[in-house]
Amino acid sequence: MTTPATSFGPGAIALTVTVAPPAEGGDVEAVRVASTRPVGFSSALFVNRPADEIPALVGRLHSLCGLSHATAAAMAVAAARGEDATAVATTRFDGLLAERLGEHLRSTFLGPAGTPPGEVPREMLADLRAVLAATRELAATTAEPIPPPARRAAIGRARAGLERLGLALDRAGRLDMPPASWAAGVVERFGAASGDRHLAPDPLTAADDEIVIAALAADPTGFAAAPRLADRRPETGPLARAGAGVGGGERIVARLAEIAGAGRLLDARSQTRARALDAWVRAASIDSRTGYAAVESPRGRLHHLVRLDGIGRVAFYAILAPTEWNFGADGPFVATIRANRPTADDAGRAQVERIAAAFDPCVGFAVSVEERGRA
Amino acid sequence: MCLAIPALVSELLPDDMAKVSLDGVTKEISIAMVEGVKPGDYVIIHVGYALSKIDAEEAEKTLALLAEAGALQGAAE
Repeated sequence: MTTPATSFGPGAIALTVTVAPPAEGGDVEAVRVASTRPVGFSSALFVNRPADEIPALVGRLHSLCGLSHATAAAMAVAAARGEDATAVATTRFDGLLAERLGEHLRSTFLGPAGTPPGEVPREMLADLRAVLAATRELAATTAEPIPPPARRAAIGRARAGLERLGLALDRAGRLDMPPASWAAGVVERFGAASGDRHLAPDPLTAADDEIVIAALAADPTGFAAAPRLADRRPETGPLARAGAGVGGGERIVARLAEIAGAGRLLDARSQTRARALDAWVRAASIDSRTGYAAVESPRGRLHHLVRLDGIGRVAFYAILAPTEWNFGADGPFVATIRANRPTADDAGRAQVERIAAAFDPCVGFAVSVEERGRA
Repeated sequence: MCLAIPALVSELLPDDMAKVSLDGVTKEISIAMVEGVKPGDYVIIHVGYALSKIDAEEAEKTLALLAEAGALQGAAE
């Protein structure tokens, strides 16, 4: 059974699962992840350009997480110059919060857990649009900061819309979803009741940055397309950041909790925001002309690595996106499919789509579940 | 790698849909997520949905960058 590719952009992921015939037990025999996304374009585009141009360029090029990319680029360049990279992120933190909030919300609305826009009640669609419009305002990649009154108004609109969608945290910081809310419906359709088996994550963290960056520097194209760590199956994204959770419901709950958490942080006291930012971004110099940054973008840990030449132009640039970890050939998505028992029919295809959407790749995907010998 | 592909809106359709053109290819997309889209606007597209509007100058800069990177090849397929 095959779903049509939904991509209208540069590349997509084709997910092909091969299962044994039912008479032989129906086990998953192979999971193939084939990507047609462009790889290595950052080197081709950025080398020999002035380093100051890169944050804006990289932000413009990325449709979903432009501000995370722009921030990673600005921090990596600052680190390469031996400058204070954290200051770069501090001024963009509203935008990073808004980007995470908006991306998770949009992706959940449009994914298998959501409701097709044509079937969404108008008032719910209006809430969604209002929140997304506010996040776009807050996450604009322009250099000019948003004026305080406009900032407060945008945050107010975002938080009011989130509350109506059932996305708020209680005093203890737990997701507090009214039973009839959109958020509660998502968890009901997509969570534990789906019967999908999910594995405990092996989180990719800041402690992994040095080895990741060393591998990226040694093989920028190969490692960016297929990252791996010995004896590990790293996962990145909301569940990995939550640091705990096993079970069908946890992956989507972690994402919804991040939406509500980002909404609360927009309005939080400066000390709370500073602590959150500290866990969100990291940058370091490798030598006098080389620096890297890691940013917890919506879908996970995003790495940028830059080396400058003697006159401040880019001599080398590499980007490692979080989707590459989660959808690696032996990554957590593949392991999760192997832990389940999809069948070669509509129900099996829907299960694989649901699990893929739980990992939320940053490009469109098409799913095919085939019985061995009948492909 | 989630690249931004700007497309020109050529026609509004019922049910929050629109026709867009990209590199000579016409597609129908949903504009349900973005308010106030009209013919002549550029929108950023992802998996069949408009994510945001951008101005024409920004769109042309982005398209030029993507063309330079070779990323537009097959984008509309």
